[in-house]
Amino acid sequence: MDPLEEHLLNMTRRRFFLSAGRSIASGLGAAALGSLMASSASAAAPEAKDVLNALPHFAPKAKRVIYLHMEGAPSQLDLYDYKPGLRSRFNQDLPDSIRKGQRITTMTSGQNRLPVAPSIFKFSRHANNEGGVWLSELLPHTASVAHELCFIHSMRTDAINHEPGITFFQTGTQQPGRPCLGSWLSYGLGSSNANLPAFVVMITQGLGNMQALSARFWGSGFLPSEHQGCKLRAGGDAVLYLQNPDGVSREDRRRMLDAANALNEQDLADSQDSEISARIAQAEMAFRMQMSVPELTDLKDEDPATLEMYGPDVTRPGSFAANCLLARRLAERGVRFVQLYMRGWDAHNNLPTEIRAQSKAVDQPQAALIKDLRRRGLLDDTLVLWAGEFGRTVYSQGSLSSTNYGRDHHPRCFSVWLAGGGVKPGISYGKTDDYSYNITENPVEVHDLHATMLHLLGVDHKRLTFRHQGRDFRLTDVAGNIVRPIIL
Amino acid sequence: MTQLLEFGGRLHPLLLHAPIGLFIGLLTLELITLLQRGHKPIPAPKVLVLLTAFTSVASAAAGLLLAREDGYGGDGLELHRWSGIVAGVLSVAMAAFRMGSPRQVKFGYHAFLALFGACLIVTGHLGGAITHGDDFLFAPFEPKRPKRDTQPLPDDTFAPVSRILAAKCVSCHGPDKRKGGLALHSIDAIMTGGDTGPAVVMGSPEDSELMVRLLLPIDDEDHMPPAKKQQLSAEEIQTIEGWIAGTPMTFDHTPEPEVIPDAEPRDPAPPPPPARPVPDANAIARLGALRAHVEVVDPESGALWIDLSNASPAITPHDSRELLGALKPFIRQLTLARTALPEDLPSLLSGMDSLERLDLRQTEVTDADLGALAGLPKLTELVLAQTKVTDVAVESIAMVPTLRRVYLWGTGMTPEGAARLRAMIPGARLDLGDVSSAPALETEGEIALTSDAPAPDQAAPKQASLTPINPTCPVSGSPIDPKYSIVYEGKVIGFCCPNCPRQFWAEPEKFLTALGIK
Repeated sequence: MDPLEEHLLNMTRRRFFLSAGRSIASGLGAAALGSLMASSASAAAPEAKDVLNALPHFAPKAKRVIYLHMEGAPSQLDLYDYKPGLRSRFNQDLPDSIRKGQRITTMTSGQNRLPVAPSIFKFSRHANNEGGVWLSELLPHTASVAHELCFIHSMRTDAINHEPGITFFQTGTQQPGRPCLGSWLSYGLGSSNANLPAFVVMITQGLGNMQALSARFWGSGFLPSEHQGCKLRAGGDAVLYLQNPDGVSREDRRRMLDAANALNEQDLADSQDSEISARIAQAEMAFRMQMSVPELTDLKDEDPATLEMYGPDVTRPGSFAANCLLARRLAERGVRFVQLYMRGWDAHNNLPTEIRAQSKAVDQPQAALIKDLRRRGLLDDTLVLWAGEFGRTVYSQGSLSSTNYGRDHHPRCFSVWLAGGGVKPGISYGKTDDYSYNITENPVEVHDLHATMLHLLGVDHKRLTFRHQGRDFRLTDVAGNIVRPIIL
Repeated sequence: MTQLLEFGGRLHPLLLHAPIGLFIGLLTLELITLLQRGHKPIPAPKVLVLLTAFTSVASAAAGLLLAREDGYGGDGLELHRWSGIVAGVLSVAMAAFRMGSPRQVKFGYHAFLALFGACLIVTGHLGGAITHGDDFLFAPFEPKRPKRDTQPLPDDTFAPVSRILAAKCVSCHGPDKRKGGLALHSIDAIMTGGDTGPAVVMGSPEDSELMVRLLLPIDDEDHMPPAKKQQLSAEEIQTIEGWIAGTPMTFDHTPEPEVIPDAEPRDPAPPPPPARPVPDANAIARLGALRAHVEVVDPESGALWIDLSNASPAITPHDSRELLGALKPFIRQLTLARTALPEDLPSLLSGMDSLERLDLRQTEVTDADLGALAGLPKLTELVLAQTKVTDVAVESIAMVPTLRRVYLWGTGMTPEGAARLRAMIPGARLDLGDVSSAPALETEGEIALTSDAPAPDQAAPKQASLTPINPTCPVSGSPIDPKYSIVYEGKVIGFCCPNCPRQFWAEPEKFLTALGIK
């Protein structure tokens, strides 16, 4: 490389270390970051990072995230948002004063009417740290940990359909191409276990109507590729080709890797292409995962009582219960961001049947996850998020009867919950109107949620940026206000 | 052609002497006439005046051509250019009046001669300033400038820079010629700077105009040296930069030191806080090499979280003792979960005055080891889940008054022991892994779905059959899916998919006719 170009790149890197040397964290920030970089298995030649200051920016409350994404958009009316007043409005038209002329999707625009469909599920009030929280009969186990959960009933989003909706929830914008939350955290904070990726994804097939899941939901966008989510397979082997073939020992594998690395690093020195250093990092990580993943997935050190707590599905690989157990194991092993996808919540029709099956599949495992993290002392620094990409409508899609209805997409309000990691336990935040259609109190945008989550991890969402196409991108785009009332 | 024009421009320094000399001649003739009083005033010969005007215009024209060349620019040039043009115009006017009637000669010619002369002086002075510098004339009378405080490094680092400048810059920026008012032949000259300010700010290459101009793209008009002149090589630029920055460049590509604890902040930041102890960067680096995780949890104080649970198996208890020992005052959170603890845990923990969270989950920690807890003044969280501690440890744990949370699931502690502990440290929450199944506070009764009033556009809510009346989709002809039905004028019409209803709504009559309904 041209010595002048190389020197200019070096100048940028040197300035990064110098600017981190403003305060006491001068040599320390550099050293800590250096060890972080070493432990996140990046290549020998460090890239000129665009991180403005050494991370974390301030003392974090959480060290890792487990994100349970309910793909398809679960119905808040049938799970969390208790609206008893709707029971006396069965089959009434949705008043225009509530709808306020909102556009209807093409799936229901053909309907003659928008009849109100109250939930046919019973709600109960469970004790928490406020006056109790109403939860549906579909989630009895989750209700038993209600004192650990912080419900947000006033989430809202701009997206109306699944792909842009999930993209928005993961990356902060509806257009594809940007890194997701897990990649930002992997980039900013790295992994605390050099033998496992910083970002792991597991998918559970749903029992209801499923929508497509794209791999770019856990993609790294324009960040270096080593920050993409590593998807573990649901079937027998969590990762393919973990075992060396017959006749190839681990030492042989190491020598092969060293030889390949030598060539790659030469290439890297010539071109300074960050994709090459990502490749080197991934190859190293794969080598280490050959040892660490079998240890991770071997459940023989789990005692039967723990397994029972997660429910009967826990021994079926790929089920939500099995994935929750793995999520806990990953959290124990220092993986920074674990993301579980539960598909099948998109109940446009036959909602009662579908949601019963879906809830049964997730209720016990997610409660067990919370309990398991708590008793191992991990919940206080693990941030758990349960969310869909938007909510569902109060009016029925398709035919409405006293035992059956469907619901269409509804971005204007939906419910999520958070637990652990510096979030106030046992509270409810935000309110919707009587139809669970509009937000009446404390709206929370998706960007606000992201800003808050980053804040809990010790990251200032405005300072974690990456220069791409001439401007500094950040997860929260140009928005994001921290929701302070829910922070401990 | 352009070469001819350029050559013409370069005649300017030659041509400009003609109008000056001729003007002096004309002036002398006027003075002689004045001195010889009484005689009839003799205006200068027409030929001479014409020649003055001609050379004046030619010189101005040549000057305009020369100005187009690279390397000339700035305010000084603009003023010189305009006054030169004015001088040319005035000389023509002067010649015109000389050709006229005696009355015109008496008044017009003399007036314009004076004006032309004044303009010539101005133009000439400006031109000289461009070439030799503003202060050229009166420089001998200037007081000697004091030496600057920010002296660059001693001469042995400046020498290569000086050679480079002498070879490639001083021809236009030197004692003889100061383009832009800048000279680069000596350190003093460099520090003095030029028209736009200092060329170099010692210690800061990015603020030094000299460096900026060297690094500009070659087709940028401010790039130095001018595109047509010999350029500096990349290594020469780096040499100059190194001299400015105070770090002389070497070309063996040794990597820069990663840790620069004493670097000064670049922008005007407040002075650094008074020196506080900094954690041993060496120890951190060695822990990192052993794949222990070290993370700064408080940038203000340098407090650390150290996690040994996923460290390389090569880490020995001796290593962990030594490295943790080096960092003791800074450790705020320590995770030893799932590791083989070093013997003599108490000595490892003693001295950790900042420790707030200790995670010993799934280790072989014994009741006796927990005696070390008393020496931890700030401990608030203790994780002993899945260890073999028993009721014997209750006293040791209770010796830590600052505890807020203790995790005791999966230990040998009995409920009685836990109750005792609770009584001894009432401010702490103990977590024994109890799975609470408290009943709900209240539950809804049976759900009755009712309606207060009928829907506005229906007399009474009819629970009519929702079975579609058609077996095939009117839009596509495919078999219908009853899920996708609409109600049109009291009839339930089925479609095959969610998109067909839109087409139906566009032209309902057409499709109804097709169905045979209308």
